[in-house]
Amino acid sequence: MNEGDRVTPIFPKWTNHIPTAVAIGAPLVLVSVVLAVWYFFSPKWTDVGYTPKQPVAFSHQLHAGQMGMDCRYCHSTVERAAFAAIPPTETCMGCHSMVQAKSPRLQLVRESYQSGKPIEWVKVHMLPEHANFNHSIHVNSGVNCASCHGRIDQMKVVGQAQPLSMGWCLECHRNPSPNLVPKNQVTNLSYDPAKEGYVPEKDPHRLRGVNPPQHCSGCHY
Amino acid sequence: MDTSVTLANLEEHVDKRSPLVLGSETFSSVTNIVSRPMEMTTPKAWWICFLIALSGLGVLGAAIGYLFWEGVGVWGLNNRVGWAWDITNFVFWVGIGHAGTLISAILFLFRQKWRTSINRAAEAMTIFAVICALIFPGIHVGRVWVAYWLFPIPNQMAMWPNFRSPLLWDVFAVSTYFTVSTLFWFVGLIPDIATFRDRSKGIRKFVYGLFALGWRGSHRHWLNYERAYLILAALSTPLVLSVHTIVSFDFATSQLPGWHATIFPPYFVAGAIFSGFAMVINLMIICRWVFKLEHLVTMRHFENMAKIILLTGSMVGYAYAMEFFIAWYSGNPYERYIFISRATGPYAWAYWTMVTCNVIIPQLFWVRKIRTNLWALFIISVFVNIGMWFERFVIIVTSLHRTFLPSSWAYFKPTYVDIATFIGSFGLFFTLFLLFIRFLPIVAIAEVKTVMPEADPHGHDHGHHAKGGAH
Amino acid sequence: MQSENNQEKSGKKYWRSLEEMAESPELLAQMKNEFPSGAAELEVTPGVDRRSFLGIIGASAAFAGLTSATGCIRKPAEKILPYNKRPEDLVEGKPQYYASAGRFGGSVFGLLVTSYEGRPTKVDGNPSHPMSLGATNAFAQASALEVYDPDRSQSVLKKGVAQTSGRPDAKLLKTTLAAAAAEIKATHGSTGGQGLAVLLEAVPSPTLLGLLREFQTTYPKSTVTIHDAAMRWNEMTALASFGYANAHLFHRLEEADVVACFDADPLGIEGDVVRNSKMYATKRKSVDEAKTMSRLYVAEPTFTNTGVVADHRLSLRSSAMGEALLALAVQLASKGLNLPAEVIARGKQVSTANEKWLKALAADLMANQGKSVIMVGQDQRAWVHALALAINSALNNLGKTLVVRSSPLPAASPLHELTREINKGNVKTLVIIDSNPVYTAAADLSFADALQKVQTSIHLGYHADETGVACALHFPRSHALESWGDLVSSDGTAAIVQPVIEPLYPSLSDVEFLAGLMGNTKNSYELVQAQWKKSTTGDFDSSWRRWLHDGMVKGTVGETFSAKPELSKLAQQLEGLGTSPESTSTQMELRLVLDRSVYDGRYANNAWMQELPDSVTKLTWDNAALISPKTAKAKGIKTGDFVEIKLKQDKEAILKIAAFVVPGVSENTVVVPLGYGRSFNGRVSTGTGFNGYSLLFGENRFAFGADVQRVSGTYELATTQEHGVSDYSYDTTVGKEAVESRGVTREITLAAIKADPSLEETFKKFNLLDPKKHKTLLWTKTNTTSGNQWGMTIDLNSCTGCNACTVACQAENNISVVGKKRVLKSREMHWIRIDRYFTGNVDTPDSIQAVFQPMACAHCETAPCEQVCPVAATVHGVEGTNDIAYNRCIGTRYCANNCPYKVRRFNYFNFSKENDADNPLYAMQKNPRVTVRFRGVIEKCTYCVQRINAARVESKIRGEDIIREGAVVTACQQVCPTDAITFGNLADEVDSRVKMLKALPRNYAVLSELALEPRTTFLAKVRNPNPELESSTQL
Repeated sequence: MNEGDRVTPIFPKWTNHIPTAVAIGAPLVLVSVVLAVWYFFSPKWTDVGYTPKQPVAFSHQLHAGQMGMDCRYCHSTVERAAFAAIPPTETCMGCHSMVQAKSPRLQLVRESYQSGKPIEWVKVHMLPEHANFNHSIHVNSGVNCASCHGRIDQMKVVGQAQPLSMGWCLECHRNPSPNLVPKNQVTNLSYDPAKEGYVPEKDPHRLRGVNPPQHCSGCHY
Repeated sequence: MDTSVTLANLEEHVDKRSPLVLGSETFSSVTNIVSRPMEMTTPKAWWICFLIALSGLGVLGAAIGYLFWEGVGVWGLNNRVGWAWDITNFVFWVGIGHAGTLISAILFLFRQKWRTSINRAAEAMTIFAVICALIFPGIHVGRVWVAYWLFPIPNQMAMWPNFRSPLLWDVFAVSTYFTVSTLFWFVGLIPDIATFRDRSKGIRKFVYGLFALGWRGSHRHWLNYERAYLILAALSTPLVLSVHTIVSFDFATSQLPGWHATIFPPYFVAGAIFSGFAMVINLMIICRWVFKLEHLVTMRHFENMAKIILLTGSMVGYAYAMEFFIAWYSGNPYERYIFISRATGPYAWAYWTMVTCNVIIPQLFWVRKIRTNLWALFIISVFVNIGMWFERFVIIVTSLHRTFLPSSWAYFKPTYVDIATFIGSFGLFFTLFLLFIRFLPIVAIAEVKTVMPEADPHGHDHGHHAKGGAH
Repeated sequence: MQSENNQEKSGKKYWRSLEEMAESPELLAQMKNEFPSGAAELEVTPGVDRRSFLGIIGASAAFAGLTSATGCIRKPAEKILPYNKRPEDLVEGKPQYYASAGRFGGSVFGLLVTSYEGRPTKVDGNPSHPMSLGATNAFAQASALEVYDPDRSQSVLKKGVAQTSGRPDAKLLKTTLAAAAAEIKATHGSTGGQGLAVLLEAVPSPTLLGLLREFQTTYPKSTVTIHDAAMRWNEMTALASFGYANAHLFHRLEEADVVACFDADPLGIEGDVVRNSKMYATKRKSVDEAKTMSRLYVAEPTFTNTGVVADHRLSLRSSAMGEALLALAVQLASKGLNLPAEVIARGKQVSTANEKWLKALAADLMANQGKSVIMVGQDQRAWVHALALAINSALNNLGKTLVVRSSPLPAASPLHELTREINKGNVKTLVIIDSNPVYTAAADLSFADALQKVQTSIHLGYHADETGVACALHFPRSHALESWGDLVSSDGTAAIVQPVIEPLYPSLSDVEFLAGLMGNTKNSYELVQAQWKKSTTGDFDSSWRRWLHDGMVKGTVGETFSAKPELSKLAQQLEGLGTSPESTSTQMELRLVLDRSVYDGRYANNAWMQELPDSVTKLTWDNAALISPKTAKAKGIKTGDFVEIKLKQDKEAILKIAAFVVPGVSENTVVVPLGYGRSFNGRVSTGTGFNGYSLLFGENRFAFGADVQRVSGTYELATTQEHGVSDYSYDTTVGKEAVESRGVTREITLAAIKADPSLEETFKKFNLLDPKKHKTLLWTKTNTTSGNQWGMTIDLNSCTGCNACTVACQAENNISVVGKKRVLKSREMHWIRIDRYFTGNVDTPDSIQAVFQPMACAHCETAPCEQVCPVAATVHGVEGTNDIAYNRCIGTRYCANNCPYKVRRFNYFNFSKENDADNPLYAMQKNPRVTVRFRGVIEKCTYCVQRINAARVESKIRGEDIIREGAVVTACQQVCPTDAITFGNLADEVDSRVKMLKALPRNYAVLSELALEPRTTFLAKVRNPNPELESSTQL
């Protein structure tokens, strides 16, 4: 077309900058979206700090912290079973039939004890059900409770301290040593192997090296 | 149609190449011919076709929705035959999607000027076919909602996809192919879109203008355009071969008798071009007739395509024969059995349909009368497409239904959902294609002009109006 | 074709739509919700014991997937419900094991029941019990599901009408029982039980029989009738004729070098199958060290498990057995065996076509006197049993390979006598203890009509079955896992049956019922203890605890007869026994057999058993009229055609049934398995198969002069092999050739082993490529040498195809049942299947042999499935297992396509969720250690990785990295009655049994030429043919 150069432009001149702007902007947006998803959609963000309200205002800070009760006093199956059992009501009443026997805050516990109806605790550490976690082997390998549960002894209401994501599990399964403590220190939440200069390999009480499974069927079956 | 004109450019002359554009078409008349379909008021026929196609698309949507709701069980698959129509359709459509890029890229590099009047439609067809193809790997998985695990995205599981899996290569191969073809197609469109921008007004002008990217046809534009087009052509050429090679790896690298064959990559590529050209012929014959493109899309184009079909068809036939030979020559009883059962077993009907459509019928193209007869061309091409669908079905299903252990032999029967999904995919294809012929030039105007005598700067005889003799 | 779901909602799925589902809407509502939150609600479910369920937290693992199917949604808040008072020695999430005993298919053996927080989830054999030795049969495995049967009787019925509106009512049960007792006292107290009859099964329970004696002393004129599918009346009569009153035979196959079975199935479903199989296997396994093996002859009308493993099989109609035995007697006598002259005289009259076969057998028997045994099927007539006993005794086998033992059962009359009495109007009150005569009685008795003539009929039953609804009064029976009891095995070992769970619904055990009818309201615990206190000296409590711990009572009950039989007595048995027309006639013979899946019909409502493929026909969800290809061709019958079987005796019976053409059936014979086509309206049983009992005349399960004609119409039969095959013969022949050329199942002879101990020559014909060469691998293998390396061998020589492994695996691994419609689409989910291949010529039944091959994931070291999975959901574990992470699987099914053994199973729908939604009780059987799979993922054998992991934790806590031999036992290995399956640690140099077996020359890998290096390998099948008969055996 011979008069092509005298075509009246449809778009104002500034639109010439759009391509440049897009060229620079698009990658930025893309990267930030990826980063956002990667961070905000991960259990690190979604799950850590999950602190549901419990039916009974039981304070670990008081019992495990101040009074220094051993975790295994209540969670007695932790060394024998996959599941760290929540204590039966009778365990509570073991003390609280004498101590604070009349306290209104223990009303529910007493009722449960009489009626035989269990107390409906809210689960805090919820592993996906297709992941099989076994407490006994971890405790017996000298993994400190705090490594996964955080400083329970400082929590009034228990909350989730770690992401409990697969990646997080693998970190430790690939290099367990930093989280290992002497067997007798497992429930000592304040024990810091690094500070104590604890070297699992040198521990005479260990019968075997710790080599956690890293293959799928180690946890998924 | 005026056969005298059509046949005119079939003979080769010693002194000059016979023209690719017939009649006394000029640059502007070509533009007008191609613009007509888009500038005329939408014809009833188009609406009817469009509605039919659209309802086909609806069927596809319904079938897929039902599939997602109920699970893959709504298909006829079983524990022995884990793939059937889903992957058959996938390979079928990818195959269709081959001719386009071959025509536009490879023929371009080989300076096959006759490509110019068909490449645009062929490329469009390619893109739409690949879209149809891409659906199936997506929906055939059991848990669609986690299908994104196929892509290497960092995640809290610290898991990557398995890069050893041909299925993963597929994901990359096909999506790359799709991206590049689309880009290639679009770049080719720019000058023509600009033409329409200049011819139309109002909202159309704006939209076309948007996609014309400010094309003014200046010398610099043409220079960059040509370079970009050449580069893209060079880029997509290997893709033409790679994509179907990798699709064939899905089967070739696994170890089932009937799948595990080294001949698959070339055999698949040949088959793809075979079916692709058949589809181009079908589409072009209709467009040519509907939009009176006889002078642009000439019998010579069809004859060339028919020759390619004859060639690739024979290659496919050779592959079939070779499979049998190897099965016998290898002395591998599983291999032998699977081929015997292909020809004589429960699926013999499918096998012989395939052989008839792909090997026997295309041989008719040896006869010039047949390959220059539009009806024959059309019908034979349809057969080729049917045959090529069955080829994939035979490869996938007959191999799976009779594997190593006779205890695990089963028979596959499609459910109506299988059928609906397949038909629906055609609905999607034609919906897109109808939109294309309505809103975009089905012939690359700018390129066609380059092959017209007027485009030749040193042409000694500028058509009939220039005086003879040199200056 | 319409959607599967609709199909199955409308059509016969093994459950039906939710609305019809539960008698009690509350129950449904409570249980529909997913565990563990369900635990809280369960407690208020009427009739369901709270304490049994509170601890179900442990079970939560079992329900993975149901929620995580949609992974990305944020997890809903979960509740934890701790015990209120934790039962002693219970650790949440850890299984408890209880020793018990059970009676399955007429055999009593010890059990070991696994229970999670009060839910019995699995039933296995008690290793220390002589009749079980740790193994069980399929029936015992299925009882783990039986206890959660949705259609079990939940309340008292009067004239078939439930007396409670939905909510089960314990009080009503007691009062009704008391009322019934009072009524009996009123009517019969004065007359001393005149017109009072008790009908029960042959349950050898001291307590029950003790109470029965008590009952008879209270009502001296009352009669006792025993009606039981496993009752060996003819054998008892034969034994009685030799002066062994109320006795039965007990076989010692471990002593037998030559076993000859005439219509007997000691390794299938007849008698003490589990023990017989164990003992039989010891005589086959000896092939490796001692290079010796027993020889098994079987004459039978259709393939039984025994027939399949036989070295020599003679296709012979049941009616010809006696004559064949007579002919054998003649042969033996001619070889100098001392038999009564009359017998020989009689035997001389019979002409047999199988002289050669019998001659060879006779020679073998003579050569193995005292080390051989002749076994006769329970359906054979008394004189055949007597003759067999005579020959066994003459062969000096009595007391060695078989002994005569006194039966714990009381003297009782068979059902037809009771029916006669009823029809005479002599029975006012009929007490039926857990028997279903209305369904299982012979057609000519027309027991249903007779029952109406009884004034008061009182029925105790696990189901409100055909009899239950026909009786005036029906009481729900507690399951054996819910109540106390005791049982005596045929070898005299007594065991206490102890409950594992409180009855899910108020119900009575058989002892409570019978005691209750005498006004005795003691519960089963007290009753059983009372019984045993009588026979115990010294500190009862300590011995009681010991019995419960061991699962059996020390010292046996009943004595063994040592006196030799008076053979002269045999003569009169044969008197008047004219040449029976059968042997020569070409008329069709009808043979009714107990079914390998549903037995006499009692497992018809058990989803596992219905979907369990029959050992030989591979038929699921139905029975069919089995006909040999030759006869079928002659009559123009094809598989799936409807045929009409007419039988004319004193009255005519007709059965329209689908035909199934299968090799191995005798010519002119039609075989119909019993137990299907029940009118009992169960979710599972409804619409399955055809009722063979309608063709049963008298006590004999075979009859002559049956008229079999093809009638219009066809029927869909769901087999798991030859799926959807139209032309059976084409595929079996092709299949057969394929198998033989492919060396999939390898059969060799004892002679071959002796000639070529390394078997290198013998195996040449099976190897496509030399397995030692051609090992170029595309990928580098994962380390397969250090630590624990798991492997398995399956001994084809021991396998009897009993199917126990398939059900055990289903129970252990929460494998879904898919229903007939989906089996028809070959979507069954069994992780371990048993492939059956025929050899020989389809048209000559004698040449037909079959071989079983259990097939599950072989855990290839270079697994084709692993390479192709795009998301690495199935990868190789460091311990050589082919792992699959269900939640990573996106369901491309590529792995299943690429698996050469076709052992991978895909969840085409949300099978498990459907199972649980449609029947909440099934959820309670689930094994909490195994993920329940969800829609759209692949599953397959995992080598019971949950057991491996449990063992690993144990050993690591113990401080050992290597898991000890025997610490991991897979479910299939545990249950196998012939120990055909061995699993263990290949890296264990010291005492790995599996490693030792893999070193045997018989060891081979299926499809070895593919260099898959599977961890599961097979030991070739060895036949021990008699040289004189070699020709007739195909090898």
